[in-house]
Amino acid sequence: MNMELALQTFFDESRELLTDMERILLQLESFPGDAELRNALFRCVHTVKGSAGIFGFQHVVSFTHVVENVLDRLRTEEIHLSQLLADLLLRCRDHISLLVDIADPEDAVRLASASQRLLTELGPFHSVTPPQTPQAVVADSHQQHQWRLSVQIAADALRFGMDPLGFIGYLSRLGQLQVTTSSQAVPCLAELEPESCYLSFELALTTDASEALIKEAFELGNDLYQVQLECVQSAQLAKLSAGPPNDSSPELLARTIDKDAGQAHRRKPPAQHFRVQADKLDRLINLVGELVIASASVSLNAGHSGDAVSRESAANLNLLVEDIRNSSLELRMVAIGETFQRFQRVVRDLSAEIGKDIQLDITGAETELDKTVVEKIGDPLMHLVRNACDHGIELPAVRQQKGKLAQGLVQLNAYHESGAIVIEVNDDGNGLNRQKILAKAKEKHLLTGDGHLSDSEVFNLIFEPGFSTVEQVTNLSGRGVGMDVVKRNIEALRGSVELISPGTLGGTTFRIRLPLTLAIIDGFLARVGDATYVVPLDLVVECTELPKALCNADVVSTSHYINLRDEVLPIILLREHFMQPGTSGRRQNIIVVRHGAHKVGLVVDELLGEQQTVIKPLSGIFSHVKGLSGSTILGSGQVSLILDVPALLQQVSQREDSLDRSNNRHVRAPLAAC
Amino acid sequence: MKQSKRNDVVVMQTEQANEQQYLTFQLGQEMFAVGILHIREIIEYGNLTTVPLMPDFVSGVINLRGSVVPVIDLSIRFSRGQSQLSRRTCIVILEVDSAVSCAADSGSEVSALQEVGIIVDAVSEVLEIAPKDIEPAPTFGTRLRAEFIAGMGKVDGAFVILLNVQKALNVEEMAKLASVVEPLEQSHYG
Amino acid sequence: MSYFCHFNAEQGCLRVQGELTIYQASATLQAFRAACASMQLTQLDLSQVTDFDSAGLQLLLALKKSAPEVQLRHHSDAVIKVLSLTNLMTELDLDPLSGGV
Repeated sequence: MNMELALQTFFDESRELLTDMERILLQLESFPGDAELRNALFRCVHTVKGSAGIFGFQHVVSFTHVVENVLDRLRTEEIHLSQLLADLLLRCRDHISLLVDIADPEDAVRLASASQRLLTELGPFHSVTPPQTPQAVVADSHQQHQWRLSVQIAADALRFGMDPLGFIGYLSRLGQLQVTTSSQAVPCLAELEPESCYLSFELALTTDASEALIKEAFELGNDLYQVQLECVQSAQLAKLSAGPPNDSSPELLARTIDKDAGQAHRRKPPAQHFRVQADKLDRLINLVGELVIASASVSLNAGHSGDAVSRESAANLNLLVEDIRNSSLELRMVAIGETFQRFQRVVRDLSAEIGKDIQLDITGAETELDKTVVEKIGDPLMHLVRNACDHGIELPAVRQQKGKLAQGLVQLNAYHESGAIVIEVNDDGNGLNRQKILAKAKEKHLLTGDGHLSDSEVFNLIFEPGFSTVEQVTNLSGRGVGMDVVKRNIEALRGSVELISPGTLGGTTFRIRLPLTLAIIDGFLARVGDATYVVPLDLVVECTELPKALCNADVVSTSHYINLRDEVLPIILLREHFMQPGTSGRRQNIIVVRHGAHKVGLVVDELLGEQQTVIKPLSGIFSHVKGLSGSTILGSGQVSLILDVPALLQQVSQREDSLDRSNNRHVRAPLAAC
Repeated sequence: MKQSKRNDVVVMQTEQANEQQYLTFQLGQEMFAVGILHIREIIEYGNLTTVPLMPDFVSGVINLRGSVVPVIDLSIRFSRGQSQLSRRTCIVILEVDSAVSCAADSGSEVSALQEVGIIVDAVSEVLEIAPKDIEPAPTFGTRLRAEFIAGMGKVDGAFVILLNVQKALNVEEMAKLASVVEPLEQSHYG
Repeated sequence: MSYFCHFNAEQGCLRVQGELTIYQASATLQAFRAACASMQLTQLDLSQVTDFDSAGLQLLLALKKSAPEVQLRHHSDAVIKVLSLTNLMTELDLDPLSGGV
């Protein structure tokens, strides 16, 4: 482990800890009595401070020291978490994250005045004397203790990148440190193993720092260090050593420290992680993609050869490749929770700013989706959440007038549904005012003509560029940009967004539907004329032969609907839709696909079965094509096109609505599965 | 640094050697030529996948060792009717700079190269045409948009049309043309 | 980044230049062994040591154990820092008061 790597780990971990800190603080506001939360909060800051100390980031240490002290008093219930203190601590958290990010102590100067301001504000809450420098911290004498430490170091420590100079340096900054280095074990040159460690240390430390803080010095070393820690002044063995003072062997103490660490682990979710560079992972996924194509080609050739043995080998290979594909895609799957969590803070700050009382409820935080999708969904979600707070939720007084609770509720929810992840942003506010939106749309010339529009069409006008219904422009949303950007961003991820609202009855839900992954999918192949299309298998509900009576092209193309087992099913004739030449064969098949609540039947000439496919984006001259989401290469080497089912469904629903209007007849596809 | 400089020199030399070399091919009765530096490879015609809702000049896409490459029927693009397929028909894969507007004039670094295939009736040969044998493009008489022509090369007393690949296969322009074609259903809306 | 050991046999002086850390430990050990074997080593010049860690420290301790007569000279700041932190100044020929030789 070299220094750079260790530093990177420090940055990553600090960021995670600070994220935790924010989450816990927000939780603590709702559950101030939860001792476990208070402890966890303390541990976050404590660990950041400890690691920063190891790397000698004084600017981080001196600031976090005070925050840590406040949190320590909070956890021992000397002080209580008021709204004011919570605000302050959140700002301190932001400041710590700034401090951690600059890393170079030289640059810390420009944050010094901000540090000082926050420290002044923290004044009433902490019990440390002004801690300009760690030396000053040490100078606080009324809590000083003398500690004796005896440290045995595993022979492999240096090889693992653990240099004892690290903890000595750290401890020397905590207070007055006397070091006795035991070098007897160092052999002569002839016997020296240059990378083994032969040193051990006896240390005497005078400090006001807590025992936990001292132990922090050895945290990175895991089991490479065996530490015996003893508080001399009070002539008591440190609390952690359970055994009688003189018998306490290093092993015993090491075990107790381990046990302590083990408990800390149990409190956290028991996940073991391994950091991997993202581009290595991407390369792996690309290679797996090629492997999928190659394996499809092997199966095809084996099938043609007619040799039973090679067919069987190919089948085995296929199974393995499928496993590899799934496992490697899983590597990129992350829970959406972390993204959701960010919004707690957003909602809290925003509601304070606009004078509303809003609670954010999160469900489905553990729902997983592809990392690349997660990265790109943050901004659209941010906009929707802000929109819900700003435009959706009413002011407390207004809510009470309406007989609602003064506190508004915004909900973030995620769940999996047929190969997609669904994310809902829901508020219990105003709802949408049809008349207002219509008026606005006309004013902005987004609407031409006076055609009758369905509610859903009216509501979806807010996704048009340049639309905003709020007169008063706040500094957060309502600038009239955004909703169209939200929609575009989501569509760029092969997803869709719809707006559900019972109108002025109140409440609005944005439902975003995204594919789980952008790289590889299971596809269902179908032939239309001489073209082969791929339908994402997750969206396929069933495949069936089109009833003979309906095969007459005229009948089908004029009706747009068929009766499938007494169910009205809208259909798309792909041949007609894509304006392909030629006439359909005598036998036609239907692939019933579903996206969200909508179902549609795709009429094709022939069903060719399932195949894993690697998505190759259609770019360049095909960038404007509608109804196709990409292409893929089949085992035969032929290129096949992937149907964009959401886009096709949208076209159907538009067709349906226009039929609604012209025929004054209500036809909808029943929701029940067939 | 040293390393890359040396490489640059090598590239420059080969570029000079190739700069005057052109691949000539037949389209109907006419001879065209494309600078050899634009050419990636020449492959047999076949295995085309038609992309629906595209203008006629986009014949489809092919799989070129794992990447999906669009194929253009140059004959239709040049308003000369659809190519007649024969045994000699082939696809010439060219590299086109897809961020044309900025790079073509300033001569700055080539940004996004995209592969595009063109269907030609027959590939003839690789010729050396010296700059002195190249006449500026005539403003009329070629039945071709003037900007598609880089010049007229004199070969054995006859003229061949040297194509301006960047203009004739302008990705941006072709994408715009492609977006005009809309599925039928769209017209119902609004 | 550069590292090398230079042994001036005439003066019996071995000079370590650059980093003296675990990354160079193996090479430095070879150099120390060779210099000791020549029987001419009298002093080790540490003035050019830019980086120094526990592995480097152990090498100096081992050298002292094998050849107590060899004098360590001209400790660089990097070396002084570690020796004062570990309280090994006298053992490794650093005058605690002057902070260097």
